[in-house]
Amino acid sequence: MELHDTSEIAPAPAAQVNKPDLVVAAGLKAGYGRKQVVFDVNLHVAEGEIVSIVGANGAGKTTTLKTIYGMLPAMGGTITYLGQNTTKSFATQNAARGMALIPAERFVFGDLTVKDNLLLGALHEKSTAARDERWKRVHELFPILAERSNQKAGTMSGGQQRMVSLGLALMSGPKLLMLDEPSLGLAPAVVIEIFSTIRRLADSEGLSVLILEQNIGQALRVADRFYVMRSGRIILEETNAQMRARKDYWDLF
Amino acid sequence: MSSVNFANFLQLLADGIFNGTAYALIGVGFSLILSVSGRFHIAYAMTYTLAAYVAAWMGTAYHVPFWPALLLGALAAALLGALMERLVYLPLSLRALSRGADPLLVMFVASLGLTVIVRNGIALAALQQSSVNIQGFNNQGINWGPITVTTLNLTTFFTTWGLIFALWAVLNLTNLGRMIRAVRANWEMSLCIGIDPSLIFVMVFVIGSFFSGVAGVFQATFASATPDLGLPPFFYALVVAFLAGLTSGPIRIALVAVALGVVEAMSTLLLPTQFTPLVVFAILFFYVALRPVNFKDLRRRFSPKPQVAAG
Amino acid sequence: MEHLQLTLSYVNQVLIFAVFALSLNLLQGYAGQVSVAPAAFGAVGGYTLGYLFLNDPSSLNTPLGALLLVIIGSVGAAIVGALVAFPALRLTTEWLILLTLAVQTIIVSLVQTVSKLGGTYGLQNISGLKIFGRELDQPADMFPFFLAMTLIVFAVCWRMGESPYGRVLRGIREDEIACRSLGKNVFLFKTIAFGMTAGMAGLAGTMQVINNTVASPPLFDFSQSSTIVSMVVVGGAGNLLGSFVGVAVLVLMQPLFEHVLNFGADAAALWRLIAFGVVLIVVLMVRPAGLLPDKVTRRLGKTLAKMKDRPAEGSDFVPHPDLQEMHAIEEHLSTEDKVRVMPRALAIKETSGNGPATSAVNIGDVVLKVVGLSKRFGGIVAAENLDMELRRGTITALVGPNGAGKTTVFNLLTGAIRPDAGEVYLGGEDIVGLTPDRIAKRGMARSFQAVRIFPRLSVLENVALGVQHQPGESFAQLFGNVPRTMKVEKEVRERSREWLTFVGMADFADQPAGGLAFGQQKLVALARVLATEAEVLLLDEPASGIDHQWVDVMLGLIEQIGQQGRTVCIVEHNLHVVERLADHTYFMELGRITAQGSFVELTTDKRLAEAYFGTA
Repeated sequence: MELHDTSEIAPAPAAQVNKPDLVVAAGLKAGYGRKQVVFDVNLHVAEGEIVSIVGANGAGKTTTLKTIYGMLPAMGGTITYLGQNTTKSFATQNAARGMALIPAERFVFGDLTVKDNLLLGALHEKSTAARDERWKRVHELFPILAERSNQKAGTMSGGQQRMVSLGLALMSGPKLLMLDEPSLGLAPAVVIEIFSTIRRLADSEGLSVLILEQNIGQALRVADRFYVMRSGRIILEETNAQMRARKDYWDLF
Repeated sequence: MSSVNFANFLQLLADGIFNGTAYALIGVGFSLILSVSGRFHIAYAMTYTLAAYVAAWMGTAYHVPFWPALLLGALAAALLGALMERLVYLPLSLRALSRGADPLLVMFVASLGLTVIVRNGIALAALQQSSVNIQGFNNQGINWGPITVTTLNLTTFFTTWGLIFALWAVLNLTNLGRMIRAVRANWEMSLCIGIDPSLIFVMVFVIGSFFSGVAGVFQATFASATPDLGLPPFFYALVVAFLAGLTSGPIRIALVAVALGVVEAMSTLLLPTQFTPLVVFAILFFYVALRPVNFKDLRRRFSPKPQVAAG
Repeated sequence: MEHLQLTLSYVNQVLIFAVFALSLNLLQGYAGQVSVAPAAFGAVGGYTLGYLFLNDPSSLNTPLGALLLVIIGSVGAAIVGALVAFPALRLTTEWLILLTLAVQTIIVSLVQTVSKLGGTYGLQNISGLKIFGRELDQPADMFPFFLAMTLIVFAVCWRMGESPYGRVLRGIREDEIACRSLGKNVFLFKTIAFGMTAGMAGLAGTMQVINNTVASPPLFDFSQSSTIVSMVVVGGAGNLLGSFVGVAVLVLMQPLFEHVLNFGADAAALWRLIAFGVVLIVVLMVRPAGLLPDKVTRRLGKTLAKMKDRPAEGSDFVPHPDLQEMHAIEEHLSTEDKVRVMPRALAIKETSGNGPATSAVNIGDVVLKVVGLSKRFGGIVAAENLDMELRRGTITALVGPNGAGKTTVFNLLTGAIRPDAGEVYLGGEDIVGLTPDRIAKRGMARSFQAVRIFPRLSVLENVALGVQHQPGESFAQLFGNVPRTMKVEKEVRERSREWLTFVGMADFADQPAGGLAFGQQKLVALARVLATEAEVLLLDEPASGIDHQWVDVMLGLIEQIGQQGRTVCIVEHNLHVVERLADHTYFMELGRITAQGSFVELTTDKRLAEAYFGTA
């Protein structure tokens, strides 16, 4: 088996070709300091689409996400968001433009209460009406947050913390939601609940979602399209149907 | 016999509480700066000293009354603190990060340099005067039964606790406070939600330095101002900040400070007076020596670490 | 004559502070341990001399004279320093600052309050000291003595710092954990460094007292310590000559301000401190390694300065020509092209096991046996009842989904974490409870997923630190048997070069490791762990985070290592690497080993696929 079949990019049947692209990364190179980890990434997410990047650890998924978000400077290539070149934008600017990122670890403010966590999500929102509206929405989606409003987020269970982090992200009224390994460490039932919420949001509000996952099985529940990453490059692009049809996934990682 | 001892004990207790309150302001200020921004800001002692000199100068040269002079002094301290962060600490930490060096050490050494510059700058500016006094405060003793307190004690006490409660309110009830606590709790996540940490850093320097300025003016009202006014209290602030734990709220830190003040005062029952500072420093030493914890969180303020697989 | 005395008095000051700065440089610049207490240790030395002298001036009638007191003072300071080292051993920078700050304030408080030590004014009238019959009265009398002391201290610091011993110190500065994993007893090195530094600072303290004829608190207070720290930083941490520069800059500013610029003496004293503070900050901003950086750092700085971190507007990342050339060399040499010279040591007598083949585990002795290994962190099960075997000459792989506990296993095996239960038999002996450096010495070494090379050491030095049994790393041998240490050092360097040639990095031997591309650093780290000649090699994600050509190179090397009879265990997420390399694979889930066998066997198991990739 060839180790580096970078030529093998399966043609992706354009399922969502009508919808405009929300974010596009072209020839993206990225890393930490001078350590380059992402060598050439091309991807796009359309409006209302849920896209998943799958790959083993160390493949460069998180680096890609953080670079799109502006937490890391890109070493090369371009990022386009809502038609604008955001390659050199910082996270604060992108957050104000509607990007939200939930990291894989330490994804809540543990010392702060659930209420404080959620209010922090709405930092950039000027309109009180919009904020109140989202507050109601988040509590409808995750009723447990209302019960535990004054509890310190760090003392809640893993699944509940994930809900807090999602609530936090949703309070900012994002257009692009980026999740890093959302299913990590969660019971399958909880993952199903969270993923179906995401699906509903994407369908009803046109929220675009980019999910990084090692757990392909879970990602198949919710993603429209898949990118497979290995050693800092995208080696494959497939639709949900194509990915589902695979016999096994061992040669993807 | 016992009634004399009891009166002595009460007086010591009162002294301890008032001394402790003096440590509380600077302990809270230093803790805020260190826990949020991660700078080991020894030059904190200098904002304390500068405020005293500015207030004294305002009083002597321009006949500014006590309270406005105090405010001016504290504002000068706040400005100095903000400048230190913006002009020195922030650029240095960014440069250190970009070349992969440890920013903590670089900034600590820079704070040593800042301390030297400000301390001797003040000494130079005040070279002609032998000592500098704060004008306009009439300090009187009041007898409360067996103990004596001064009006300065009481003024310091109430001002300090007022400021501490105000800080508590800001931290817990306002948006700014929420952001400050967010940066302190989880630096990386703050980036994720679009908080600009460098702005928050300046804010905590302003607040923390303002507090040190108020404390400095009160101290110089009690004794006169000298260029080395700030260093000994600063060491106390260090002890308070670390003993209370860097993630503690201002009220808890202040209570620890008062407790420390009481312990120090009580130790005069056992040791000659000149040894009491030793007690405080010995507490610090044993605290550090016996506490085998790695202070990882402080480093998080500097670089988002690459996500390492849990295994 | 006046003029000479005045000049020499400045020179003496330079010498005194030079001794302070040199000793602190050894601790802080070489070993990377921050200390704001040098003046306090000076106080121990100086006050000891003063107290002993004042209490018994007749002690000077011996031929050694005051030299005896100087020695006693220094030794006393050294002992205090070694004691302070104990709490300091586990501390990171911020806590070290706090600890040494506490030490500084405690010692000065003590001498200020204990009445026998003179209180606020200190011990006075310490004059009439004699050394070898010569009275130390004028600066000209003290100068030869001070000069001799300074040269001795310089020689000691040089020997400690610029030697195999110093290489370990610098390794500790760069990455303590990596050092420990290479078999270095970091605690011992640190204790000796603290002790020696404190002793030399104590010596400087005695010189201070002799020079000033008093032993008083202001001579040894926090601002003195802070000045000494600044001198080391300004001069150049890690460069002993730099310390002279840093000291000279500060001391000579006094005459500059006082005599050249004609400020009054008081104002000059303040101005020069302000000026020095400004110099310090400027140096930190524009030349952070100091005026005279150490050799490696200077090269590293140049390499980094040329590289662009952020790309120009819209353009691709264009590496500097040097780096491009490096890449060109790398790409030009494919796996087959590279000449691999087997280092002599690599030829292991008993070769058993050949290459990855059938599902049956290759025949070879069991070199590492793990029985019932368990570890919990609070409520989380990191490892539960693990049973593993590593056989000689085989490559074993640990795979599993995220959070399975694979890296935890390595940490448990190498002693970085202590297990709750279970045994680990290396060569038949249970090693549970041993520290990482002892386990490394016994023949099990690891590499790190984050690489952990020593950036400010050269590539060759990185590998040389892996070589075991170096007499130059022993303090006793360092000073006791110089010819032998030099001879062995030559051999060590030769051997290190051979390992570098094996991984293909010999051309970069003198480059600072911090300037290499990540893939190159991984190769250097591999050479380093190979240099330990450990029986068992644990490689943590050797192929992660690097581009595919590097993965190829790494694979080829690990294959060869296995073929030469070493025992290798790898943790990997890249399953192609596992497929190609592993003779035997363990599958881990949530801290348990739930399957083992050949890679093919595991990948045909449906349940494992579900565990790894999840269910749809």
